[in-house]
Amino acid sequence: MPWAARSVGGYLVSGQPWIEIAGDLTVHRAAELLPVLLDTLRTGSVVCLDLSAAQRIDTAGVQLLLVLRREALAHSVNLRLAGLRPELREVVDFYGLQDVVMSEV
Amino acid sequence: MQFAGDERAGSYLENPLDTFLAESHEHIELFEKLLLDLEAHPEAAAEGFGALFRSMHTIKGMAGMVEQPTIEFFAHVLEEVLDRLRAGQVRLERELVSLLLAGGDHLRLLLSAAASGQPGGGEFADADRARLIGALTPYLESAMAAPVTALVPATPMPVGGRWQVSVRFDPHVLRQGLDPVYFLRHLESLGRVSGLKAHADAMPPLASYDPEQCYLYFTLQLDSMADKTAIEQVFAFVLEACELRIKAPPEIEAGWRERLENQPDDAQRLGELLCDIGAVTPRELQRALAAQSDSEHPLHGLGIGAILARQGAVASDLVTEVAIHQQESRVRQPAEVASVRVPREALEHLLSTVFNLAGVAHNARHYQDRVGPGLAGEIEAMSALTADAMEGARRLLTQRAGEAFRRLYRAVRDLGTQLGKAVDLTLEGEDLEIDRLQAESLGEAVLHLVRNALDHGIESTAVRVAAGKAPRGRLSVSVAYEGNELVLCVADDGCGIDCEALRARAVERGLMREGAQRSEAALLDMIFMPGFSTAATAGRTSGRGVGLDVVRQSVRELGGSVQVETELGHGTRFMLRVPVPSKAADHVASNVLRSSRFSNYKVA
Repeated sequence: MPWAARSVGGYLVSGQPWIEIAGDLTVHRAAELLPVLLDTLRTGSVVCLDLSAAQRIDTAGVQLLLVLRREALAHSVNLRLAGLRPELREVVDFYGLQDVVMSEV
Repeated sequence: MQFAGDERAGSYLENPLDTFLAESHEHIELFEKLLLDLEAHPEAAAEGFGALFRSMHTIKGMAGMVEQPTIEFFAHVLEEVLDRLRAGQVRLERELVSLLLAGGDHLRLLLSAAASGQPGGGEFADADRARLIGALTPYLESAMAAPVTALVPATPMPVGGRWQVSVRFDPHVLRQGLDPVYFLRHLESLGRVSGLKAHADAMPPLASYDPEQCYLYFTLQLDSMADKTAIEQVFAFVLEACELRIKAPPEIEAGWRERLENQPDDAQRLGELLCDIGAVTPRELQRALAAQSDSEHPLHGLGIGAILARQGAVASDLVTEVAIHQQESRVRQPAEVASVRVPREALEHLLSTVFNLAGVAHNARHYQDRVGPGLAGEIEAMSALTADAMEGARRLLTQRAGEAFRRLYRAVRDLGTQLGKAVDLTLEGEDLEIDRLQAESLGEAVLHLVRNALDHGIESTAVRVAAGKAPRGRLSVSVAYEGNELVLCVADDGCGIDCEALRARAVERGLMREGAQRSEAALLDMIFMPGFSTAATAGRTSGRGVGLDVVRQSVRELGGSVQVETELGHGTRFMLRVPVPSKAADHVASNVLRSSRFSNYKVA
C-alpha cells in the first residue's frame, strides 16, 4: 500500500493510504472484485480507494460500488472513492446515483 | 468448427480462444465480401443472404462457447437483421449495407480487445455499439401473428409530451451481455431523457448478492414525439427479459380518449381498438391475448381490457372508458358505472333548490322587456340553464321502464327452464319514463308477479296442447300512463284462478263459513292474504319468501292499488295502478312537499 500524499480531484489528502483498484468495473470482473473491495474495508476506519485504473464501468460495476458503499456505512467505515475517470463517472451520474456512490475527498 | 488449414488443428485443443478469434476474423472477412458483392449484384440475393446469415450465426455460436458474451450478443443483433434479410422482410439498401459493414468493423474491434485480454473493448466502444444497435433496431419490427391481422398501424401522434417509463430487467441480463445502460442510452435517440433513477431497493444483503446479476430497476421521463411502439422498440432486444411499463403523457391520453369517441360504432374488439389508437403496442396486445387463452395463466378467462390493465399495458381508467364506449360488460357491470347512492337529504335539498330556481327564472322572464339588453341577455341565459337543470333533475328522478324491468327476460328464461315450461315474454312501454322512486318497488312487484305466472299460471306444454292452446305460454308485461296514473299489467294465457278452489281453501282455513256467499271479486281478493296459496303448488315457490301480500303492500306504499282479473282456463291479469303527477315540475314540487315519500328514496 503506497503511503503518499496524493492529489485527487484538486484536494490534497496526506497521510492516508490509497488503495489502488486495478482493472475495470464490469460484469466480467465483478465476482473477482467483490472480495477485494470488501477486504479494503477492513484496513481501517478511513479507507481511500483509487479507481483511476478502471477504464470501463457497467451496471454490474455500479452495483458493486453501491454494495461497497452500503457495507462501509454498515461498518462505520468512512469510505472515499476517487479517481474515477470522467467517462465512468458519467455512467454513475446517468443513473442518478452520484450522491449515493461517490463522495468528495 | 471448420478448420481452414491443418496448422490450426493442434492449437484448437490448446487454446479455444485463439481459434475462435482466428475463425471469427475469417468469417467477418467473408461477411464483408458478401455484402459488397450483393450491393453491386443484387441478383445473387438468395444464396448470398443465406451465406451472410450463416457467417454471423457461426460467430455467435462460437462466441457463446468461449464465453464472450459481448461478442455473442452483438453477433446476435447482426444475425437477427440478416435473418430478416434472407426471409425477404427487409431490403438490402445502401444504408443497411453501411450499417452492417460498420457492424463488422465493430466486431473486429471486439475481437482485438478480446485478444488483448480486455473483453468488451472500452467505454467508447460501448457507446459506438449502442448507437449501432439503435440504428439497426428499426430493421427488426416484429411481424404480427394471425389473431391481430386486422390491426392498423398506430398513426403517429402529432403532439409530443412527457412519457413515464419504468423498466425492470431480469437478473440474468448482465451475464448475457445485455446491459441496461445500452437501452437506456438509446432512449436518447427518441428525445430527452430526464429524471432517470436507478432504484437500488432490490439489492440483496451481502450473503445473497451475486455480482453478475442485475438488481437495479429504472424509472425515467422521456420528452418525445415518438409513439408508444417506438419507445417499446428501443428495448426490442431485451423485451423478453424485462418488464417494461410505458405511461403516456396526459395530453396523449386525452388524445386517445378523443379518438375513442370518434371511433365508428361497429363492433371493433376492445383490444384491437386500443391498439389502433396507439394506447397499447402490438406486442402488449399479443401478450394479453396469449394470457387470455392460456389455461394455466392466472389471468386466463378475464376480459382483454382487464388483462391489459393488470399487465400494466394501459391505465385501468382508460380501459373503463373504452369499455363504456364499447358497451362491453366484462370489464365493469353497467349498473356499477351508471349509478351512485346519495344521501337523500342532499338530493332532496338540491332538487328543491332547482325547483325554486326554476320559479325565480320564470318570474324573471316577465321583466325581460323592462330591462336593458345586458340584463335581458343574462335572464335569457339563466332561463336556458335552469331548463337544463330541471331536465337534469327530471332525469335524476325518472328512469326508463325498460331499465327497471331488465331482469324479467332472464327470470322468465331461467324459471321456465327450471320448471320445464316454454314461455314467451313481451314487454310494452319500455321507453316510458317512470319515477325512479317508484321504479324499484314496481320492478320487484312485477318480477314477483311474473314468477307467479310462470309457477301457477302457465301450464306445461303437454297440458296446453291437450287443452287446445298454443304450446308456448304467453306472458305480457305492459306499462302505460292513463291520465294521472301509471298502470302496469302482467297478463298470462295460463290456466286462470279457480274461484271454487279459492272458496274451498278459505273454508279450510277458517276464513269463511261453509255456504257463505262471496262475490268473485271478494274471493279473488283473498289471494293477497299472507300465507294464502293454492296448496298443490305451494312447494315450488316455497323458499322464495315473497307472497302476493308483499306485492300489494309495496304498491299501497306508493299510494296505489292492485287488481286481478281472471278467466278460468284462459288466463289471469294483474293490474298495478300508482298515481303520478303529470308533469316533471309538479313532480319535483310534490315530492319535496310530501317529504314522507322520501322515506324509501334510493337512487340506484
